[in-house]
Amino acid sequence: MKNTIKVERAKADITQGGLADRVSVSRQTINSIEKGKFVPSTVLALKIAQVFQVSVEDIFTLEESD
Amino acid sequence: MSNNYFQYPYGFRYFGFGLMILSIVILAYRYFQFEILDLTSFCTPFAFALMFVFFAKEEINDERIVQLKFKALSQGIPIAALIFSGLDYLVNFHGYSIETDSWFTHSAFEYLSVAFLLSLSIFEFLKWRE
Repeated sequence: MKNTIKVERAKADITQGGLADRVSVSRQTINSIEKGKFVPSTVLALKIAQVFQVSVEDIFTLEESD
Repeated sequence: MSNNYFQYPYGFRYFGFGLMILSIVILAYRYFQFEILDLTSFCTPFAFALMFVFFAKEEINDERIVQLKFKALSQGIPIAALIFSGLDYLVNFHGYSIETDSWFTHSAFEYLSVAFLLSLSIFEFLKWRE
């Protein structure tokens, strides 16, 4: 699964740590999600989308292999 | 939606570490004072200590930690089982028991100690790597 969290963070001028605090996870979790090493739960994905005020589909997209 | 996968509060890990140190101290005392090396008695509190440390909540207890701990357990437990199966098969430390009509094997707590030690190590490695 691909995501555009890094781009959204840059647009909103938020650090990984700042985003992590807002969605109540660790900075390492956000880093893992951005690198595609960890797939967030539905709740976490919704929280992240809420921070950036976009829909979940705007941030997370399925790949062929998914 | 709350995350209550881990039953023990964060402070329980310090209790676990304390119990570990106590186990090691008692083992060392019995060995150096009385030349008794009783690994089974040592492993019983040691296994419980490791269990408390492993299943205690982390500082930030998110879903990635849950996943990493499960991954660590899924690797640590079978590896420990392989090690002890090999040890039991290759080396019978204590021989055959006439009373129970079976070979002496390692205790469950010895296995648990190694399984949790491996799982904790793998968890810390996965946390660092990812």
